[in-house]
Amino acid sequence: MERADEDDFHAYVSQRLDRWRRTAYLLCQDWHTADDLVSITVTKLFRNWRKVRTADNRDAYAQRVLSRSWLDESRRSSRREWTQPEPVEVGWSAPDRIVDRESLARLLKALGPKQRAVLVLRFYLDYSVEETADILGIAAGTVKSQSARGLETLRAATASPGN
Amino acid sequence: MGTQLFDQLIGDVPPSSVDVTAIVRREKRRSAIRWITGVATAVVALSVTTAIGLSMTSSTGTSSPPTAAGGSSPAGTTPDTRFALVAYNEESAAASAKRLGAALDAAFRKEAPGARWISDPEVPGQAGPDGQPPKLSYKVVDGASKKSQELFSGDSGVLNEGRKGSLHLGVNAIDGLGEDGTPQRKAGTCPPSGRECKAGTAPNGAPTIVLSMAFDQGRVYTAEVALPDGRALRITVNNTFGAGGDGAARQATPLTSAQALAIAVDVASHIKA
Repeated sequence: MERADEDDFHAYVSQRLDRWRRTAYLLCQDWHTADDLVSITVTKLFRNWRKVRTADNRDAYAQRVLSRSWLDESRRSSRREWTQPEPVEVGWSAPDRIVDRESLARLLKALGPKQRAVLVLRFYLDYSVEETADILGIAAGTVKSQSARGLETLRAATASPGN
Repeated sequence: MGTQLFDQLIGDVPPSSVDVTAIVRREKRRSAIRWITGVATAVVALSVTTAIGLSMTSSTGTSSPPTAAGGSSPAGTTPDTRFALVAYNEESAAASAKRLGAALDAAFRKEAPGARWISDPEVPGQAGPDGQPPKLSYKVVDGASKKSQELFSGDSGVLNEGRKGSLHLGVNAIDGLGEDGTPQRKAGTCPPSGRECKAGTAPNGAPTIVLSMAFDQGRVYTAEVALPDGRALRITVNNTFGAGGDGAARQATPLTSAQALAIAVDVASHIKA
Protein backbone atom coordinates (compact mmCIF):
# COMPACT_ATOMS: atom_id res chain seq x y z
CA MET A 1 0.00 0.00 0.00
CA GLU A 2 1.30 3.41 -0.93
CA ARG A 3 1.93 5.96 1.79
CA ALA A 4 -0.87 8.18 0.52
CA ASP A 5 -3.29 5.26 0.65
CA GLU A 6 -2.23 4.48 4.19
CA ASP A 7 -2.74 8.09 5.25
CA ASP A 8 -6.16 8.01 3.60
CA PHE A 9 -6.96 4.83 5.50
CA HIS A 10 -5.94 6.31 8.85
CA ALA A 11 -7.96 9.45 8.20
CA TYR A 12 -11.04 7.51 7.22
CA VAL A 13 -10.87 5.13 10.17
CA SER A 14 -10.23 7.83 12.74
CA GLN A 15 -13.35 9.68 11.60
CA ARG A 16 -15.58 6.60 11.85
CA LEU A 17 -14.12 4.80 14.85
CA ASP A 18 -16.52 6.21 17.43
CA ARG A 19 -19.56 5.43 15.30
CA TRP A 20 -18.35 1.87 14.68
CA ARG A 21 -17.68 1.32 18.39
CA ARG A 22 -21.15 2.54 19.31
CA THR A 23 -22.74 0.33 16.69
CA ALA A 24 -20.69 -2.67 17.75
CA TYR A 25 -21.68 -2.09 21.37
CA LEU A 26 -25.36 -2.09 20.46
CA LEU A 27 -24.86 -5.38 18.67
CA CYS A 28 -23.02 -7.19 21.44
CA GLN A 29 -23.64 -4.95 24.49
CA ASP A 30 -20.14 -5.50 25.77
CA TRP A 31 -17.37 -2.96 25.22
CA HIS A 32 -14.55 -5.49 25.17
CA THR A 33 -16.26 -7.54 22.48
CA ALA A 34 -17.25 -4.36 20.68
CA ASP A 35 -13.64 -3.23 20.43
CA ASP A 36 -12.64 -6.69 19.23
CA LEU A 37 -15.29 -6.46 16.52
CA VAL A 38 -14.09 -3.04 15.47
CA SER A 39 -10.49 -4.27 15.42
CA ILE A 40 -11.51 -7.12 13.16
CA THR A 41 -13.37 -4.68 10.95
CA VAL A 42 -10.42 -2.31 10.72
CA THR A 43 -8.17 -5.26 9.83
CA LYS A 44 -10.47 -6.39 7.03
CA LEU A 45 -10.82 -2.87 5.71
CA PHE A 46 -7.06 -2.44 5.63
CA ARG A 47 -6.61 -5.69 3.76
CA ASN A 48 -9.13 -4.60 1.16
CA TRP A 49 -8.47 -0.89 1.22
CA ARG A 50 -7.94 -0.56 -2.51
CA LYS A 51 -11.41 -1.98 -3.03
CA VAL A 52 -12.94 0.00 -0.18
CA ARG A 53 -11.58 3.37 -1.27
CA THR A 54 -13.12 2.99 -4.71
CA ALA A 55 -16.44 1.68 -3.44
CA ASP A 56 -19.55 3.73 -4.22
CA ASN A 57 -20.39 3.92 -0.54
CA ARG A 58 -17.47 3.34 1.79
CA ASP A 59 -19.60 3.60 4.90
CA ALA A 60 -22.04 0.96 3.72
CA TYR A 61 -19.10 -1.27 2.83
CA ALA A 62 -17.59 -0.79 6.28
CA GLN A 63 -20.94 -1.38 7.95
CA ARG A 64 -21.32 -4.57 5.97
CA VAL A 65 -17.94 -5.77 7.22
CA LEU A 66 -18.78 -4.87 10.82
CA SER A 67 -22.25 -6.42 10.78
CA ARG A 68 -21.15 -9.62 9.14
CA SER A 69 -18.16 -9.90 11.47
CA TRP A 70 -20.65 -9.68 14.32
CA LEU A 71 -22.81 -12.40 12.83
CA ASP A 72 -19.76 -14.59 12.19
CA GLU A 73 -18.45 -14.10 15.70
CA SER A 74 -21.81 -14.68 17.38
CA ARG A 75 -22.32 -17.84 15.35
CA ARG A 76 -18.84 -19.05 16.21
CA SER A 77 -19.04 -18.05 19.86
CA SER A 78 -22.19 -20.04 20.37
CA ARG A 79 -20.27 -23.15 19.34
CA ARG A 80 -17.15 -22.56 21.38
CA GLU A 81 -17.14 -24.49 24.56
CA TRP A 82 -15.04 -21.84 26.25
CA THR A 83 -17.52 -19.09 25.46
CA GLN A 84 -20.94 -19.18 26.97
CA PRO A 85 -23.52 -17.41 24.84
CA GLU A 86 -25.44 -14.80 26.71
CA PRO A 87 -28.53 -16.49 28.09
CA VAL A 88 -31.89 -15.29 26.93
CA GLU A 89 -34.29 -14.73 29.74
CA VAL A 90 -36.77 -17.54 29.80
CA GLY A 91 -40.38 -16.52 29.77
CA TRP A 92 -39.69 -12.93 28.79
CA SER A 93 -41.16 -11.40 25.67
CA ALA A 94 -40.58 -8.08 24.01
CA PRO A 95 -42.45 -5.27 25.73
CA ASP A 96 -45.25 -3.47 23.95
CA ARG A 97 -43.64 -0.14 24.65
CA ILE A 98 -39.98 0.71 25.10
CA VAL A 99 -39.80 3.68 27.39
CA ASP A 100 -36.29 3.48 28.80
CA ARG A 101 -32.83 2.11 28.14
CA GLU A 102 -33.46 -0.96 30.27
CA SER A 103 -36.44 -1.94 28.14
CA LEU A 104 -34.42 -1.48 24.99
CA ALA A 105 -31.49 -3.43 26.43
CA ARG A 106 -33.81 -6.30 27.33
CA LEU A 107 -35.39 -6.22 23.90
CA LEU A 108 -32.03 -6.38 22.14
CA LYS A 109 -30.76 -9.15 24.39
CA ALA A 110 -33.86 -11.20 23.72
CA LEU A 111 -33.32 -11.07 19.98
CA GLY A 112 -31.07 -13.26 17.88
CA PRO A 113 -27.90 -11.70 16.43
CA LYS A 114 -29.42 -11.07 13.01
CA GLN A 115 -32.63 -9.58 14.36
CA ARG A 116 -30.60 -7.38 16.66
CA ALA A 117 -28.49 -6.24 13.71
CA VAL A 118 -31.65 -5.41 11.76
CA LEU A 119 -32.92 -3.16 14.54
CA VAL A 120 -29.61 -1.38 14.99
CA LEU A 121 -29.14 -0.79 11.28
CA ARG A 122 -32.71 0.36 10.70
CA PHE A 123 -33.41 2.42 13.78
CA TYR A 124 -30.04 3.57 15.06
CA LEU A 125 -28.12 4.03 11.83
CA ASP A 126 -31.23 4.86 9.76
CA TYR A 127 -30.44 2.55 6.87
CA SER A 128 -33.31 1.79 4.54
CA VAL A 129 -34.84 -1.67 4.25
CA GLU A 130 -32.95 -2.26 1.02
CA GLU A 131 -29.65 -1.02 2.42
CA THR A 132 -30.08 -3.13 5.55
CA ALA A 133 -30.84 -6.18 3.43
CA ASP A 134 -27.74 -5.58 1.34
CA ILE A 135 -25.51 -5.06 4.38
CA LEU A 136 -26.69 -8.24 6.08
CA GLY A 137 -27.03 -10.28 2.92
CA ILE A 138 -30.68 -11.13 3.49
CA ALA A 139 -33.92 -10.48 1.65
CA ALA A 140 -35.70 -7.16 2.02
CA GLY A 141 -38.81 -9.03 3.10
CA THR A 142 -36.87 -10.58 5.95
CA VAL A 143 -35.73 -7.15 7.07
CA LYS A 144 -39.31 -5.92 7.02
CA SER A 145 -40.67 -8.81 9.01
CA GLN A 146 -37.85 -8.80 11.55
CA SER A 147 -38.02 -5.06 12.09
CA ALA A 148 -41.80 -4.72 12.23
CA ARG A 149 -42.06 -5.38 15.93
CA GLY A 150 -39.07 -3.20 16.69
CA LEU A 151 -40.50 -0.37 14.64
CA GLU A 152 -43.75 -0.61 16.52
CA THR A 153 -42.12 -0.56 19.91
CA LEU A 154 -39.69 2.18 19.02
CA ARG A 155 -42.52 4.33 17.72
CA ALA A 156 -44.18 3.82 21.04
CA ALA A 157 -41.00 4.92 22.70
CA THR A 158 -40.81 8.19 20.82
CA ALA A 159 -44.44 8.88 21.59
CA SER A 160 -44.09 8.22 25.29
CA PRO A 161 -43.56 11.04 27.79
CA GLY A 162 -39.96 11.77 28.62
CA ASN A 163 -38.55 10.66 25.27
CA MET B 1 -36.55 7.60 15.35
CA GLY B 2 -35.29 5.90 18.46
CA THR B 3 -31.74 7.12 18.01
CA GLN B 4 -31.82 9.00 21.28
CA LEU B 5 -32.93 5.89 23.12
CA PHE B 6 -30.11 3.88 21.56
CA ASP B 7 -27.65 6.56 22.66
CA GLN B 8 -29.04 6.33 26.17
CA LEU B 9 -28.42 2.60 26.09
CA ILE B 10 -24.84 3.15 24.94
CA GLY B 11 -24.26 5.55 27.80
CA ASP B 12 -20.75 6.78 28.48
CA VAL B 13 -18.31 5.50 25.90
CA PRO B 14 -15.12 4.13 27.50
CA PRO B 15 -11.69 4.84 26.01
CA SER B 16 -11.06 2.85 22.87
CA SER B 17 -8.79 -0.19 22.96
CA VAL B 18 -8.75 -0.34 19.16
CA ASP B 19 -5.12 0.27 18.16
CA VAL B 20 -5.31 1.16 14.49
CA THR B 21 -1.58 1.80 14.21
CA ALA B 22 -0.79 -1.64 15.61
CA ILE B 23 -3.30 -3.26 13.26
CA VAL B 24 -1.69 -1.58 10.27
CA ARG B 25 1.78 -2.59 11.42
CA ARG B 26 0.68 -6.19 11.91
CA GLU B 27 -1.01 -6.36 8.53
CA LYS B 28 2.08 -4.98 6.82
CA ARG B 29 4.11 -7.64 8.58
CA ARG B 30 1.72 -10.34 7.46
CA SER B 31 1.82 -9.01 3.97
CA ALA B 32 5.57 -9.53 4.05
CA ILE B 33 5.06 -13.06 5.34
CA ARG B 34 2.60 -13.82 2.56
CA TRP B 35 5.14 -12.54 0.11
CA ILE B 36 7.76 -14.90 1.39
CA THR B 37 5.55 -17.92 1.28
CA GLY B 38 4.46 -17.07 -2.23
CA VAL B 39 0.83 -17.57 -1.42
CA ALA B 40 -1.72 -15.25 -2.95
CA THR B 41 -4.93 -14.18 -1.34
CA ALA B 42 -7.17 -16.59 -3.13
CA VAL B 43 -7.34 -20.22 -4.08
CA VAL B 44 -9.28 -22.08 -6.72
CA ALA B 45 -12.66 -23.34 -5.64
CA LEU B 46 -12.27 -26.58 -7.52
CA SER B 47 -9.12 -27.44 -5.64
CA VAL B 48 -10.69 -26.58 -2.31
CA THR B 49 -13.60 -28.80 -3.16
CA THR B 50 -11.24 -31.57 -4.13
CA ALA B 51 -9.26 -31.31 -0.92
CA ILE B 52 -12.34 -31.25 1.24
CA GLY B 53 -14.00 -33.95 -0.76
CA LEU B 54 -11.05 -36.22 -0.30
CA SER B 55 -11.07 -35.50 3.41
CA MET B 56 -14.74 -36.36 3.59
CA THR B 57 -14.23 -39.52 1.62
CA SER B 58 -11.46 -40.71 3.86
CA SER B 59 -13.19 -39.80 7.09
CA THR B 60 -16.26 -41.40 8.52
CA GLY B 61 -18.48 -40.30 5.71
CA THR B 62 -20.87 -38.60 8.07
CA SER B 63 -21.10 -35.05 9.34
CA SER B 64 -19.78 -36.01 12.75
CA PRO B 65 -16.54 -34.41 14.00
CA PRO B 66 -13.30 -36.21 13.14
CA THR B 67 -12.46 -38.93 15.55
CA ALA B 68 -9.28 -40.76 16.20
CA ALA B 69 -8.95 -44.02 14.37
CA GLY B 70 -7.54 -47.05 16.07
CA GLY B 71 -10.34 -48.38 18.16
CA SER B 72 -9.92 -51.74 16.52
CA SER B 73 -6.18 -51.70 15.94
CA PRO B 74 -4.45 -55.03 16.08
CA ALA B 75 -2.87 -56.04 19.34
CA GLY B 76 0.75 -54.99 19.64
CA THR B 77 0.45 -52.05 17.27
CA THR B 78 0.28 -48.38 18.16
CA PRO B 79 -3.22 -46.99 17.79
CA ASP B 80 -3.58 -44.51 14.97
CA THR B 81 -4.37 -41.30 16.82
CA ARG B 82 -4.16 -39.12 13.75
CA PHE B 83 -7.14 -37.02 12.77
CA ALA B 84 -8.51 -35.65 9.54
CA LEU B 85 -8.86 -31.92 9.00
CA VAL B 86 -12.38 -31.37 7.80
CA ALA B 87 -14.25 -28.11 7.43
CA TYR B 88 -17.39 -28.92 5.54
CA ASN B 89 -19.67 -27.71 8.31
CA GLU B 90 -19.44 -25.70 11.49
CA GLU B 91 -19.21 -28.70 13.81
CA SER B 92 -16.51 -30.53 11.88
CA ALA B 93 -14.45 -27.38 11.38
CA ALA B 94 -14.64 -26.44 15.06
CA ALA B 95 -13.68 -29.96 16.12
CA SER B 96 -10.78 -30.04 13.68
CA ALA B 97 -9.55 -26.66 14.85
CA LYS B 98 -9.67 -27.83 18.45
CA ARG B 99 -7.64 -30.97 17.74
CA LEU B 100 -5.21 -29.04 15.58
CA GLY B 101 -4.74 -26.51 18.37
CA ALA B 102 -4.06 -29.28 20.87
CA ALA B 103 -1.50 -30.82 18.52
CA LEU B 104 0.19 -27.45 18.11
CA ASP B 105 0.38 -26.90 21.85
CA ALA B 106 1.85 -30.38 22.40
CA ALA B 107 4.41 -29.93 19.63
CA PHE B 108 5.35 -26.49 20.94
CA ARG B 109 5.99 -27.83 24.44
CA LYS B 110 7.95 -30.78 23.06
CA GLU B 111 10.14 -28.98 20.56
CA ALA B 112 10.64 -25.74 22.47
CA PRO B 113 10.52 -26.73 26.15
CA GLY B 114 11.88 -23.40 27.39
CA ALA B 115 9.40 -21.31 25.45
CA ARG B 116 5.92 -20.29 26.47
CA TRP B 117 2.88 -18.72 24.92
CA ILE B 118 2.28 -15.08 25.73
CA SER B 119 -0.62 -12.85 24.90
CA ASP B 120 -0.15 -10.92 21.66
CA PRO B 121 -1.92 -7.58 21.92
CA GLU B 122 -1.99 -7.26 18.15
CA VAL B 123 -4.24 -10.25 17.57
CA PRO B 124 -7.90 -9.11 17.59
CA GLY B 125 -10.10 -11.35 19.67
CA GLN B 126 -7.18 -13.49 20.74
CA ALA B 127 -5.96 -11.51 23.71
CA GLY B 128 -5.90 -13.66 26.80
CA PRO B 129 -3.70 -14.53 29.73
CA ASP B 130 -0.13 -15.62 29.11
CA GLY B 131 0.42 -19.36 28.90
CA GLN B 132 -2.64 -20.01 26.76
CA PRO B 133 -2.06 -21.59 23.33
CA PRO B 134 -3.59 -19.76 20.37
CA LYS B 135 -7.25 -20.32 19.62
CA LEU B 136 -7.39 -21.46 16.05
CA SER B 137 -9.96 -19.98 13.75
CA TYR B 138 -11.45 -21.83 10.83
CA LYS B 139 -13.44 -21.40 7.69
CA VAL B 140 -16.29 -23.63 6.74
CA VAL B 141 -15.99 -24.65 3.13
CA ASP B 142 -19.30 -25.56 1.58
CA GLY B 143 -21.21 -24.79 -1.55
CA ALA B 144 -21.41 -21.13 -0.62
CA SER B 145 -17.68 -20.78 -0.04
CA LYS B 146 -15.99 -20.56 -3.35
CA LYS B 147 -12.54 -19.78 -2.12
CA SER B 148 -10.49 -19.67 1.00
CA GLN B 149 -6.88 -19.09 1.69
CA GLU B 150 -6.43 -20.59 5.12
CA LEU B 151 -8.89 -23.13 6.40
CA PHE B 152 -7.34 -23.10 9.86
CA SER B 153 -5.15 -20.44 11.37
CA GLY B 154 -4.05 -18.95 14.64
CA ASP B 155 -1.52 -16.57 16.15
CA SER B 156 0.14 -16.12 19.49
CA GLY B 157 3.02 -14.32 21.05
CA VAL B 158 6.00 -16.44 22.10
CA LEU B 159 8.62 -15.79 24.77
CA ASN B 160 11.81 -17.82 24.92
CA GLU B 161 14.88 -16.88 26.94
CA GLY B 162 14.01 -13.22 26.79
CA ARG B 163 13.31 -13.22 23.08
CA LYS B 164 9.81 -12.20 22.07
CA GLY B 165 8.10 -12.83 18.80
CA SER B 166 5.00 -14.26 17.22
CA LEU B 167 4.02 -17.66 15.92
CA HIS B 168 1.44 -18.21 13.22
CA LEU B 169 -0.06 -21.54 12.23
CA GLY B 170 -1.87 -21.82 8.95
CA VAL B 171 -3.29 -24.69 6.97
CA ASN B 172 -3.95 -23.83 3.38
CA ALA B 173 -6.48 -25.56 1.24
CA ILE B 174 -4.30 -26.20 -1.78
CA ASP B 175 -1.06 -25.42 -3.51
CA GLY B 176 0.16 -21.85 -3.41
CA LEU B 177 -0.69 -19.42 -6.12
CA GLY B 178 1.64 -16.87 -7.57
CA GLU B 179 1.18 -13.18 -7.02
CA ASP B 180 -0.49 -12.99 -10.43
CA GLY B 181 -3.00 -15.63 -9.35
CA THR B 182 -1.52 -18.46 -11.37
CA PRO B 183 -0.44 -21.75 -9.81
CA GLN B 184 3.12 -21.34 -8.66
CA ARG B 185 4.32 -24.32 -6.71
CA LYS B 186 3.24 -27.39 -4.83
CA ALA B 187 3.18 -27.59 -1.05
CA GLY B 188 6.58 -28.35 0.41
CA THR B 189 8.55 -27.10 -2.58
CA CYS B 190 10.61 -23.95 -2.81
CA PRO B 191 9.26 -20.93 -4.73
CA PRO B 192 10.87 -20.40 -8.13
CA SER B 193 12.27 -17.04 -7.10
CA GLY B 194 15.62 -16.64 -5.44
CA ARG B 195 14.21 -16.39 -1.94
CA GLU B 196 16.20 -18.11 0.78
CA CYS B 197 14.71 -21.57 0.94
CA LYS B 198 15.88 -24.96 2.17
CA ALA B 199 14.01 -28.08 1.10
CA GLY B 200 13.88 -31.32 3.04
CA THR B 201 11.79 -34.34 3.88
CA ALA B 202 9.85 -35.19 7.05
CA PRO B 203 10.30 -38.62 8.66
CA ASN B 204 7.04 -39.74 7.07
CA GLY B 205 8.31 -38.72 3.64
CA ALA B 206 6.37 -35.48 3.34
CA PRO B 207 8.23 -32.68 1.55
CA THR B 208 9.23 -29.75 3.71
CA ILE B 209 10.76 -26.36 3.19
CA VAL B 210 12.04 -23.57 5.41
CA LEU B 211 11.83 -20.06 4.02
CA SER B 212 13.74 -17.20 5.56
CA MET B 213 13.39 -13.50 5.09
CA ALA B 214 14.75 -10.37 6.72
CA PHE B 215 13.11 -6.98 6.34
CA ASP B 216 13.83 -3.78 8.19
CA GLN B 217 14.62 -5.11 11.66
CA GLY B 218 12.40 -8.12 11.26
CA ARG B 219 13.34 -11.73 10.77
CA VAL B 220 10.82 -14.34 9.61
CA TYR B 221 11.05 -18.11 9.29
CA THR B 222 8.32 -20.14 7.67
CA ALA B 223 8.41 -23.90 7.93
CA GLU B 224 6.05 -25.68 5.59
CA VAL B 225 5.07 -29.33 5.46
CA ALA B 226 3.02 -30.85 2.68
CA LEU B 227 -0.17 -32.49 3.91
CA PRO B 228 -2.20 -35.13 2.16
CA ASP B 229 -4.37 -33.90 -0.71
CA GLY B 230 -2.04 -31.06 -1.64
CA ARG B 231 -2.61 -28.94 1.41
CA ALA B 232 0.19 -27.30 3.37
CA LEU B 233 0.74 -26.69 7.06
CA ARG B 234 2.89 -23.69 7.88
CA ILE B 235 4.48 -22.47 11.06
CA THR B 236 5.76 -18.93 10.78
CA VAL B 237 7.92 -17.42 13.48
CA ASN B 238 9.10 -13.83 13.58
CA ASN B 239 10.82 -11.48 15.97
CA THR B 240 8.30 -8.68 15.88
CA PHE B 241 6.01 -8.37 18.85
CA GLY B 242 3.98 -5.67 20.45
CA ALA B 243 4.33 -2.01 19.82
CA GLY B 244 8.07 -1.58 19.61
CA GLY B 245 11.51 -3.03 19.91
CA ASP B 246 13.30 -3.53 23.16
CA GLY B 247 16.94 -3.93 22.32
CA ALA B 248 19.10 -6.96 21.79
CA ALA B 249 16.40 -9.42 22.76
CA ARG B 250 14.58 -8.59 19.55
CA GLN B 251 17.49 -9.33 17.26
CA ALA B 252 16.61 -13.01 17.05
CA THR B 253 13.37 -14.92 16.77
CA PRO B 254 12.15 -16.68 19.92
CA LEU B 255 12.33 -20.02 18.10
CA THR B 256 14.97 -21.15 15.64
CA SER B 257 14.07 -22.19 12.12
CA ALA B 258 14.86 -25.77 13.15
CA GLN B 259 12.36 -25.54 15.99
CA ALA B 260 9.74 -24.06 13.69
CA LEU B 261 10.26 -26.94 11.28
CA ALA B 262 10.18 -29.52 14.08
CA ILE B 263 6.87 -28.12 15.33
CA ALA B 264 5.40 -28.10 11.84
CA VAL B 265 6.51 -31.69 11.19
CA ASP B 266 5.21 -32.83 14.58
CA VAL B 267 1.79 -31.26 14.06
CA ALA B 268 1.59 -32.52 10.49
CA SER B 269 2.35 -36.06 11.64
CA HIS B 270 -0.98 -36.06 13.49
CA ILE B 271 -2.98 -35.27 10.38
CA LYS B 272 -4.24 -37.89 8.02
CA ALA B 273 -5.85 -37.62 4.64
